[in-house]
Amino acid sequence: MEERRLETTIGNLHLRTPLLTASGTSGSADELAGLRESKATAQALGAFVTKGVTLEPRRGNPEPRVIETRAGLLNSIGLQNKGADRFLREDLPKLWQYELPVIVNISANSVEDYAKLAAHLLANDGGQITGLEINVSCPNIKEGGVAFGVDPKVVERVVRGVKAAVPRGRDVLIVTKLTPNITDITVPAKAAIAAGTDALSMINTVRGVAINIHTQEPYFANVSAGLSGPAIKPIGLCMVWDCFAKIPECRRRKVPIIGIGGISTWEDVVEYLLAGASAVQVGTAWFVYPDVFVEMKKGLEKYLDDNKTTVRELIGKAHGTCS
Amino acid sequence: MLPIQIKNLLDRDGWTLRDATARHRGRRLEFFFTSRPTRAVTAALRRIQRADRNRFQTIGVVIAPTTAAMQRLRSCANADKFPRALFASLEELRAVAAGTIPVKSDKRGGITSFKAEILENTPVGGAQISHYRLAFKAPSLQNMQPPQFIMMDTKPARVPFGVRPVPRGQLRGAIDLTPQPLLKRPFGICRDFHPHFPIDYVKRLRLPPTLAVALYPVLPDHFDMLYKVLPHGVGTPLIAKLKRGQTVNMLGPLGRPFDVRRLRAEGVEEVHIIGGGVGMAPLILLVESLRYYGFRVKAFLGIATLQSLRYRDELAATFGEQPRDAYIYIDDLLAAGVPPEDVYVSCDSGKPARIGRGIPPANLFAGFVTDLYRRETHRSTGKTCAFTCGPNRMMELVVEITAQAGIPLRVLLEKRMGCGMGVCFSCVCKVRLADGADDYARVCTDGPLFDAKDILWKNDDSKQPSATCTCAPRS
Repeated sequence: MEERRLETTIGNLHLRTPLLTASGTSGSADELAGLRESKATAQALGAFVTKGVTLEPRRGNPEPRVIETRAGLLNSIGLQNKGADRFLREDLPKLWQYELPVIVNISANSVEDYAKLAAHLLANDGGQITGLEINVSCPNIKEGGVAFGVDPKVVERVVRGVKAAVPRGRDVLIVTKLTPNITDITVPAKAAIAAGTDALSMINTVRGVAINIHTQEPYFANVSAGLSGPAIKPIGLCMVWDCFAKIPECRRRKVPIIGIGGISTWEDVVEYLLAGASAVQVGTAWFVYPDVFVEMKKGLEKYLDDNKTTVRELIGKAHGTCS
Repeated sequence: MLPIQIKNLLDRDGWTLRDATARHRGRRLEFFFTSRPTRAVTAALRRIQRADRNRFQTIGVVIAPTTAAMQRLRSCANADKFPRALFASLEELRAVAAGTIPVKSDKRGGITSFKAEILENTPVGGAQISHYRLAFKAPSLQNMQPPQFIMMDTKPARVPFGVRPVPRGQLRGAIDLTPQPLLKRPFGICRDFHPHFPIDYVKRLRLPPTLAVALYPVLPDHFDMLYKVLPHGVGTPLIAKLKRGQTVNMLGPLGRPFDVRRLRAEGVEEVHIIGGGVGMAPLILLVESLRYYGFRVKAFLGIATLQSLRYRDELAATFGEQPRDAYIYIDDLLAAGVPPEDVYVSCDSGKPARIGRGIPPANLFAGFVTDLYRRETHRSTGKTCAFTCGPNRMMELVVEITAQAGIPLRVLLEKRMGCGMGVCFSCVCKVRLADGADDYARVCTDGPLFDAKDILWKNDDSKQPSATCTCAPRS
């Protein structure tokens, strides 16, 4: 009982705690292993979401790659990663040691490549991949990413393709990560649900620009970059709220929501749960404060004790008083 | 009686030992054998301190039977129980006498976030302050190996991002529009007072060198760094406001350690250190390590003006000494064990005035450090390698010079960083892979030390040069 109050469910996946790493900020096993508190961190996590993986290795964008803003961080990394093959060979076995469900974030340049990548990963992972998070929301790459995420038809095709790539008889959680750079997030959310996604995660970074006043030109080679950090928390919270309120599947938790965006303290986690998220991902705060998951778990436990409740009971509770 | 091994060590350095006192040209070391703090030892040490005052002619050395016992003594050591004492263990003294240098490993490895207490944050340079010397105390940070670095917050530690209710009537000013940096900033450690490196004290106290490697100071958790406040910066001006006694969140140790004993295997005898301005700061820890293992180090320092390096040295207060005037980098290099005749200083603004400290006037130069270094490369005495850190243009020139002279070069890069632990991929520089292709490597986990021939200095698809040394982060 002691442990169960933190438990939550995403599709068929039971999570020990609602705390997940956020893709892009989570690195792979090596970075976690480098921490002196790696064990405590792994124990505080419900699942590990990897950094974005692509079929071929990607070099990423030219520098500079990050600019700090007030209460936030603009990044233009451009999905630097070593490609699916090296991920399977080098990172996955190490991640598996932490005895956490592994959700692999996948990215591609075309609808077909998403399916190809998913099929390739699931055929060669030795059953170690628990779920796939489809990234149709990265603002820093030219094709794929946001360009796909804003078009509900493309989202639907991508999700359908990945869904079809799952080998028969295997239970793989398919999560679709949505972009906030859109007028109404429920449109791509509904498209993903129609295509059969098991869960939604929102939000990816918000597009932003930084200009160097001394050289009088934009900082980033791509001009725009992705904003994350505490600055975007209210935006993410609002999008989770909208989906929970307006989409019946989300409300009934048939398609649960994973909340992302600026979560930095346990209070933020509770807010996201109350807004309708079944779990949360923490990214930028982890850079600043590597103990963040351990501290969040502690804070969350205390809150649940004080209010005599469980994580499951909190999900979407704030909607109770609104129609 | 002192064991014969210690006598041998002292003999090698020309010291004479009688009873428990070693003498050399008016200087004295008094030895005390104990495994626990006693009133008699404390009283004797206090007498020495009173009689010696600030001259550093007589030093008390507390010798414990085993290394473990010595570490226990040091951990309970404070100025009260062991005024101005150094520590040693018989075990290690015997090892040193037998020709082996003691190497200890710390079991608590791995990156950790910890709180550090600011001991001092001293402006350097008088009227035109740009550098600061920051000393901090961090018991959790152990086993820093050069050229590892730390990342620190720009504000005193509080609940991170916690929502603080605003009291009634105080709404004005509650919203702070000054930049509130989110990320930590990376800095190289310029001196640590780690057991392995008591050389700072060695220099100040002028101890017998062979004995000095086995002597331990009382500050095992005390670190020094030098940073520069940048005119358009956001983070460094805030760090400059940190006060003594405040605690700051830090992360470390970060970066790949470089074991200087590798150079021995490569047959290196002489090492050139070329530092441009604040680029010298992270190299000093490396210099200490090099000197500890007996390499000859020649240091080439490029600065704007000598005046900008002047400050009041508060470290002296640790010994109950009056603060004194000192130059950052120059005194740090000397303290790290570089002989004065191997310290070269170049000033962009003209030939520096006499520095003293035994540095020959011929080592002072007007112009860029690269020109000075070009002049001196051919005077190396044995197999040589070089390390550099500084502005991008300077490092490129050093690459050219060393390539012509056939000296292998390693460069220490410092970049704008997000996380410091290899997760975010923002501190990248372009490198050449073994197969000739190029790739982005992370300065934080793949570096910060790189082989110069692996780095692609010209980065065509970037708006900025690939390897910009920021030394302190630019924002």
